[in-house]
Amino acid sequence: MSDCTIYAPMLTARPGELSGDEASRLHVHLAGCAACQARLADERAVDGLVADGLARAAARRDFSEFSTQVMARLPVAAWRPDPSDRGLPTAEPLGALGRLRAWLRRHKLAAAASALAPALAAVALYVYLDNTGSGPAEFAVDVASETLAPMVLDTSDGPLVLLGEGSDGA
Amino acid sequence: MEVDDLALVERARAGDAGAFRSLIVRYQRKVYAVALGIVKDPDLAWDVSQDAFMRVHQSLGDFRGDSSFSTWVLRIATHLSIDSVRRERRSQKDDLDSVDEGALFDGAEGILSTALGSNPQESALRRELASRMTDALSELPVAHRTILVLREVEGLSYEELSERLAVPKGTVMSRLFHARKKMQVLLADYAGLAPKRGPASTAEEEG
Repeated sequence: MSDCTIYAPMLTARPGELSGDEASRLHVHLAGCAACQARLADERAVDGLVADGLARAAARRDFSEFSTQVMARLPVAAWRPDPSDRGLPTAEPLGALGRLRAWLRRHKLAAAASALAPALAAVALYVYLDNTGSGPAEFAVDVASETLAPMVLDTSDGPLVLLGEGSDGA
Repeated sequence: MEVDDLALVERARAGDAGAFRSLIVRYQRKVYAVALGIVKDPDLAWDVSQDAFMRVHQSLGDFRGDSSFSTWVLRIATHLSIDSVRRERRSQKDDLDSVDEGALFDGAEGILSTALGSNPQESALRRELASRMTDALSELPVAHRTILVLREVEGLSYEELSERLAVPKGTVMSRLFHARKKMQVLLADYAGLAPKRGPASTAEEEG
């Protein structure tokens, strides 16, 4: 058996990976073996090629959705709420739907109206406003149901008009 | 200025989803490269890569900073990759490690270095060979693919490979030699660089 079977595997060693004895014996072998010199030249020529090749393959792949897919698999409860929610306990996932929900929580009346709107859309309402003129203005709101028409809700912020389908406005 | 990995890990631990997403984006391609090298199949590599980040998230509390975050996440990726090809490993009963005369003298010595020339890192042939690397890796037994990825991408030393693979240093050296030699023969073949044919053949060592 030639010495090459012993020393050829040492050709992949990086600095410091061979013992002093191994390194000196390899050095002696290389000085007299053209085949192992050629093998060493091949090792140096292709140094880093595996990493390069795999990096190229990774670079060709579209990763635009990768992080989103990972985040979607993680529990929402793992993340703290957005600081702009001012301490509301529910942690929302990222995305437009989450931001809309956060806005509705901050504007509870609009959220209530939004929730009522589907039911009210099937019912027509008309509103009668009456200003008596004595002292602070008082607005009486009568609500009756017919078929699709606008409605006005009396709120602490003033009248809130909800337009029904096909209505001309209040 | 880019936030460093440890700062992102701390913020992710504290519940900052954006910080964890930043870590994913920073390392997704490298994790995928490692997985692809071991499992071969791109779709499986994608799934394994996602699983790796899931595992990272589960284990954030365990990361102490003893190693770099990069080392830690790649270790998780290689572990999951090796697990996912466990069935392939069991079916391959080749002798992957012995270096005998037949395997050694196949006439291919020096072919690649000659073809790549005096500036091998910059040559067009090198780019061509790199583009065929996944093909070459896919023709190797999983044990050879694994040791090449651990050595070349994760950057493990002989000692670390010996520990990770639970084999002696001598086995690491011979297995790595075998793997690199087979890879080089395949690449030379793809490039049309025909060696002087000897008694050895890569085919006889495949399962």
